[in-house]
Amino acid sequence: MVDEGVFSILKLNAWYGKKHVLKEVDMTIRANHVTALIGPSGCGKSTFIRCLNRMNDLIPDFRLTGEITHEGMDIYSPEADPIEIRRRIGMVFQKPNPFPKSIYNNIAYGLRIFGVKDKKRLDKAVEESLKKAALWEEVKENLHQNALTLSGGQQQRLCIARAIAVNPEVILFDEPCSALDPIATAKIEDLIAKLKKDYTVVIVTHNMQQAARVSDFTGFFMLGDLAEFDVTEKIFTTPANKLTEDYITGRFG
Amino acid sequence: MTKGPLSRNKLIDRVFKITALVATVVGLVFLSVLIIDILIDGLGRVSWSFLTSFPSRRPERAGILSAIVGTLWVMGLTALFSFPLGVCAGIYLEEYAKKGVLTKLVEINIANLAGVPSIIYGLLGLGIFVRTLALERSVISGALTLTLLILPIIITTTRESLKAIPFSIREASYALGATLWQTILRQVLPVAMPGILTGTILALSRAIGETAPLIAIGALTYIAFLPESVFDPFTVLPIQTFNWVSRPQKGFATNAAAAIIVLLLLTLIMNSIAIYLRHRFQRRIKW
Repeated sequence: MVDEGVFSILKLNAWYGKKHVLKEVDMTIRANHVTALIGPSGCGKSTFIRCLNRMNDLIPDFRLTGEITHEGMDIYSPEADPIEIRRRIGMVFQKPNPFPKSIYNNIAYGLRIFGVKDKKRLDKAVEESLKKAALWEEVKENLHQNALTLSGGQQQRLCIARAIAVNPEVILFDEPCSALDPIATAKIEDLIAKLKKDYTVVIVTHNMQQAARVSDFTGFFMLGDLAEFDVTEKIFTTPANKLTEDYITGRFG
Repeated sequence: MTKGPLSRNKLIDRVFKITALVATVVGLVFLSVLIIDILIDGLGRVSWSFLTSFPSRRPERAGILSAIVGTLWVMGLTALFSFPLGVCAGIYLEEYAKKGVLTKLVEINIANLAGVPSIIYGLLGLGIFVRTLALERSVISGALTLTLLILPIIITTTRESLKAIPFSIREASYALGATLWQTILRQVLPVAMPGILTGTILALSRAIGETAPLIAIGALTYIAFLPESVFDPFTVLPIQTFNWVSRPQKGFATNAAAAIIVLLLLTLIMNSIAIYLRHRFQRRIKW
């Protein structure tokens, strides 16, 4: 990891109240690659990914020190605007969370809040995002149907389309497949592999096969430490850290 | 079948079931008796001329026109004042206020206010609206007093409805770069609205039957004209009923029963709307 990444994280520490959940984490995340974050429950990987688009701001007693720069800008500096940051760094959550509105309005929302009113532009964005999220063929006849009538896997792809629609640079996935069946999971994984052409992808997963399948780089978190971070292939074949080896071979976790 | 703990448990189960049934029946029987009694007394009196006549000294010529119009005026204004005030206060407390000792104190007080006897609100209204603001014994004084009465209920309902919206919806909105205001206005409030409306209508149907606070602010019992502006004196259905009940003539008792039927109908209509909204809400949204 020689070149400058999209994100560079320096000495990141984070707390929920008094609980120290991330300790001195350094990481560089590279553009147009998939970076997977693995580790046992409670290791801090979800907290980490939520630092990258300031979603943790919503948690009252959350505190953080260190530096996260995105495209050269410190996203926690006073000048940084969390609204702007979240627009550039999209997120897909663990449980599909479409708005209780039509498929069309789910996707158009992100554009409308930034003042896009032009019907043609919205139509085009809806179609393009749904195509990129591999959902267009399944829903193109029913764009005005309520999104909550879709299956779980379709809802999650809708959430991906919704994130894509505002044209972010990065998409963060926080365990996107944990509520889905294997077939829906396979579709999302295919999609993630395709998305890295246009976007930088960071994915938190509990599923090590998934990390091995979709990612280029893998970080292994353990009790708030980034125990190891390297090329995925190396992590899964010749990990440098004994803990990583124990975890990926299923000896604990 | 052997006797043992199993059959004993079954017996207890039966006993409890019967007790619960009796409790339910008691409530229903009394309510039915009340309604049937009123219907027998008053149904024959409810007619178009009863609805469109002013009160009179002669019971057979008396009607409830001024009371119905007064009730509609007061309710309309109460809804107009209490809904925006209550919803905005609810949104502020739930979404914007920093959680702290002060907020907690305000919350507790609002919860307590919902339980304050309505006559107290009447005295408050008398002091503030009728006397200090010199609004006299007018429609607007009545509406403002009832607004105070139901405001705590609307604030609480609004907060509960907002609280019921899953956090994941807010997260989804923030993650797209929405502000708090956009998230509330476009995602949270539309979903919470049926719940808020239901609570507001139920609060209004409580207000429609209130007598004490309006008597306290001096609503009149004999009005032979219709209010032409919000500053005119008024009467409402419960007060007209109260007045008739206290008369010795049998004819006025019949009138009172008839007025109660009309009031019950109005309340029933409002509650039906509330139930309809809640039903729609539950059917449409499945998380």
